[in-house]
Amino acid sequence: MTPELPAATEPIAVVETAPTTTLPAPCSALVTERFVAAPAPGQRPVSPCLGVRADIAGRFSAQVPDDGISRRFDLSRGRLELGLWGLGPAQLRVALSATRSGGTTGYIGIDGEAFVPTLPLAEARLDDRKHGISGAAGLVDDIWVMALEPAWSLRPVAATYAEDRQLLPRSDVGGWLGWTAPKDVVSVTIAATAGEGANLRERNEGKDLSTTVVVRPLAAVADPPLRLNVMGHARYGTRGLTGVKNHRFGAAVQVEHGWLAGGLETLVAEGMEGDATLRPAGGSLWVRTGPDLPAVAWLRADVHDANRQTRDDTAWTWRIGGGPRLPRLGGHVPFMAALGYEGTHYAPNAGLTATTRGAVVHTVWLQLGVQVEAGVPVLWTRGALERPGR
Amino acid sequence: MLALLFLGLGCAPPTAEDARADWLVDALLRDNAVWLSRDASLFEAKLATMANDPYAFLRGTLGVAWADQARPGATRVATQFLSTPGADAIWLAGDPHPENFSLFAAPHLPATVYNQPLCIDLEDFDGSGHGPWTWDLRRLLLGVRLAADLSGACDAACAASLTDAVADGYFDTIQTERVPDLCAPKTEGEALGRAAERAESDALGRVAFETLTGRSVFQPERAFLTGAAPDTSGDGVLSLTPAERAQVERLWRQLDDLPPGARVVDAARRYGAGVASQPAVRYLVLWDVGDSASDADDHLVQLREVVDPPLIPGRFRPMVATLGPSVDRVRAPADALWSHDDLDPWLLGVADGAQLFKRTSWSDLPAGLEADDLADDLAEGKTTPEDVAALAGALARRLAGAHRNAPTLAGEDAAAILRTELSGRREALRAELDAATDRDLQQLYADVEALRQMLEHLGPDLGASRLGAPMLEEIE
Repeated sequence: MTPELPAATEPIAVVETAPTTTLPAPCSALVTERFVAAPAPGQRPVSPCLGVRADIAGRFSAQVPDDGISRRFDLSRGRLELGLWGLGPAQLRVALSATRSGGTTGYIGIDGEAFVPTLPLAEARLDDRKHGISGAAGLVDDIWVMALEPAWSLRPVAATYAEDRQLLPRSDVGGWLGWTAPKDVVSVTIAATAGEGANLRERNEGKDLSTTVVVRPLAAVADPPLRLNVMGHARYGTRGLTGVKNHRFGAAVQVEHGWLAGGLETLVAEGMEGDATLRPAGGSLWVRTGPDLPAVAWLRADVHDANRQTRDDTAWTWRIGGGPRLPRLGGHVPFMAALGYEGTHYAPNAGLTATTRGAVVHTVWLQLGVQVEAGVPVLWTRGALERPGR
Repeated sequence: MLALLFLGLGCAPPTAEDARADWLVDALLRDNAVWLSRDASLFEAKLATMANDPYAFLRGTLGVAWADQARPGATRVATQFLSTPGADAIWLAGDPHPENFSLFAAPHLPATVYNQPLCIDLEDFDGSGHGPWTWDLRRLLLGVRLAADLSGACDAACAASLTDAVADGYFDTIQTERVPDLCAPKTEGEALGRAAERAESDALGRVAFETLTGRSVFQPERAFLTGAAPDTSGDGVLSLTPAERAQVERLWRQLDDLPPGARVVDAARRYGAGVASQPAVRYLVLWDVGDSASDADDHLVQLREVVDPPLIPGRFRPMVATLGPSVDRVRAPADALWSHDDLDPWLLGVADGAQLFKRTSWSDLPAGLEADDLADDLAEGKTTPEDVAALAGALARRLAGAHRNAPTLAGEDAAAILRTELSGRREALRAELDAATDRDLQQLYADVEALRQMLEHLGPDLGASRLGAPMLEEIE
């Protein structure tokens, strides 16, 4: 049985090639697990492990046409995640993100408009690694967004299409249950969530029901040359106090190799932002270099139709960029320095106001970022809560 | 798998009216999250005010109007303007419907006891920011058309004349070399003249001052005439609680533009004023200089809480908060958009922690235009549609003057951009405003009806109480 290799989720700080034995999986391999799906059956048991993931990036960007604040610095990524793995079958994860108080449109923030920590993830999870069954509850990852993200892997550059266009939240309150077939050929995950996203409390009696199916046709092949993921997603959802429909249907194909990876994803929505008449749709086509090449580079095109019921409201976004794959500091820290370009063409009816002509916005940016993933074994005393005197 | 399940369940699409009503509830709750976080009864009073009066609904739904213009959907009317770079980043008044215009004492013209020259100008900048100039203009015309429509005395020809007056007033002011001075408003027609007379009379007689304060045998110094509780319509002037008094004192200590010896004589909490900001904290402060018993140096100012402008849901490019932090935001739009400096010499922003207040004059000018008066005068034949058109044209000229004089978001010359936008397109502007406002007016009446039905269906708070504890900062 090949352990769950994190090679596709580049850049990764800690990758240890574990021998195929029945020894517990190394802590570092656990930390790099990031699937919102059950691990394949028969995987090795895990030992207790405390993991940290930090992802921080700063960006300087310049935009044309000048809209007044066209040259700016941003904290484009600020996320810290802590996790405890191997508590028997259980694991815990909590993440903190940096959020600008007052948002981009508000004047009333905290201590000016200081960055404040928000909680996008607080998850309790159980893995039955023997049978390939997992379940999680709490503030959990969206099962479609997180199914897509590992292959794209360049979250500091841009979120995947669905999240970028706010068609799906990054996480929500609820839970999911997943099963993965032997040899990792198929994973099925079903989620029930509040449907309002991590930043809003539940507003109606309707619960969002979602499923994501991932088929990996090459997983059964011994030593496959590449990884192929074929995915589908459906969500029956409601939003807002009056329970406005908020359904999603998605599909994606991803191919990953050590040199190159690529993907095609699409999502169709019925209802958006509490408006049942809005029916957006769109998708993303991307390719990026893999960890075996000395450079990080990407090329991506997104198309977003803001409402299938109206004409001329499509926005096209192109992203291209790259940089050297810098030497890992101390052998464990991937440091990313990249130059990127992003251009969006808004059809006449796609912008802030419907006009008779479109608009094009160009942005060039320089970003420096570090992604750290580290894990240390911890001692776990089985009877910690049962000691006399407690 | 679930897709098949959905098909099996059969998702009957809601009617357009139902979908709109559902969205409206969400939009109103989102807009009012800050008020819901405190006292739900004040939010309920605001909704009741909006449901009872279409003009009040207009005043309370700037966020809905913006969302309608920002979302690609059936409710959005395309514009043939905004094709010039920078035209969507003009410094906007935010919500320039007629009641957000006031008559101010002209600071540059000599006044006598019997003659107070007045300027008409924008009064409320709570929604100010940078955005498409068409949004302001449509908002102005919608307010004018609605007030006239509510009079029942403005037929199709009258409505068309109002549209033309607004379009022409704006167009001519953009195209002209020099912005006309609107500080002789009585020449602008009977409707404005009547408003000016009211304002002048009120201000010179200091009506607000006289009706809100008084003395007694037991209280030789002037003080507010307070009630025990707001009346059934939610209006009232109440004595301060200890916490409110402490807040007034904190705010007052920060005012550094007062003359030496300025002191607070009395202060009170005011309820029931405004619509969009009806639940906001409002204090009335009576102050003078020294301990003179004379009324001559007495002033009345209002300290009113200001919150963020509405969000624009579904926007692709956010309208960023560009007016600087906190207190600067109160004064900056006035400085940029007013025709003359210091139309309200007491306008100032002052913060108490995260709460922002604006201080405005109360006993002196300015005196706001009243849509009710306009509608009543028109209905009773005291003013004519031509006079109302003249007033509408004057308001449009002032709005155009404000737009062209203030820098764009990029610091560019707005006048040049707007001139390019409108060059040779007078008829196009008229036609577009006419079509858009017909649509806006129709939608507004439908929305008022939808709000009434949803209040009946969901309760006086639109069901917000089902959400439990305060929603502050939860709504993005």
